[in-house]
Amino acid sequence: MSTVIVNTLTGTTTAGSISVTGEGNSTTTNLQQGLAKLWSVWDSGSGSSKDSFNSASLTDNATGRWTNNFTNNMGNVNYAVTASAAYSSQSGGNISASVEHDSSDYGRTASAVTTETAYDSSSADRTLYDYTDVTIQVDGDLA
Amino acid sequence: MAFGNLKFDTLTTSDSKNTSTEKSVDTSYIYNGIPKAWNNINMTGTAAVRDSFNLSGFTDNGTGDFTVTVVSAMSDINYAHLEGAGQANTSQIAVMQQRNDHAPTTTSIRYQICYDDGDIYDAIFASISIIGESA
Repeated sequence: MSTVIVNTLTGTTTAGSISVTGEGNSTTTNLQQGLAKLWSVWDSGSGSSKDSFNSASLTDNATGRWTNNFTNNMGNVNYAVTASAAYSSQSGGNISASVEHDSSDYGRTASAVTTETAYDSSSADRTLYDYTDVTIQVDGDLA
Repeated sequence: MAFGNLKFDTLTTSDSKNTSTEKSVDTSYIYNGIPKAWNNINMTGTAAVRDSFNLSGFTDNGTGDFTVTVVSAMSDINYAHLEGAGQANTSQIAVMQQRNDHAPTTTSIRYQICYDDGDIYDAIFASISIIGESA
């Protein structure tokens, strides 16, 4: 059993690339590439963050439309975004979802990412809604 | 002096919120906790991968239907996968999900993107994050 006490890990061959060996003792994965670069959980009803990593602040753009502003920016806009919204009595038996908007009006930048939460009780009546539990995760390259 | 390999079981550091409280994490959390693959795909027009990690292939099976293949295989098919699709339709909700009629394998998984009325569409942004054990 050994413990390494350190504040920063840096690769020797390439500073931003460290391999981690798995429990099978053979396969490795890249630490920097694999690390989630942002996660955030917030209550969009009250407008408060519950917990987060690398999210400097939340911006309330409109009902159901929120922006997480990165503390440390991403290196580009090609990062992966996954998100979800909790079930609530508002959505009832309907679909609730948290998704990224395709429109450039609410799209992604290297410093912020916007998601929308909504429910739909029947076809084509999507309604933006502020859920009490909204989560997002971002994978990609930091600047 | 040799560099390159450092073997240890526990990593200790001060936490990210600067509380000066020393935090420790077993290295098992590092390996098991980090996503093993992620990608960002533009499904519109000629579908293309914008950026990815551990992704070896991408197959466009048709409108809103695609398969991703990883470089390093997973140890089994019981891995977790998260999805997110951008939507342009303001009257419906976008849903991105694994295709139930195509079981995932240790190297690939097939997805479908549709609106809540079942209309399949090509999203500008289709993101996936896979977490589990590598082979």
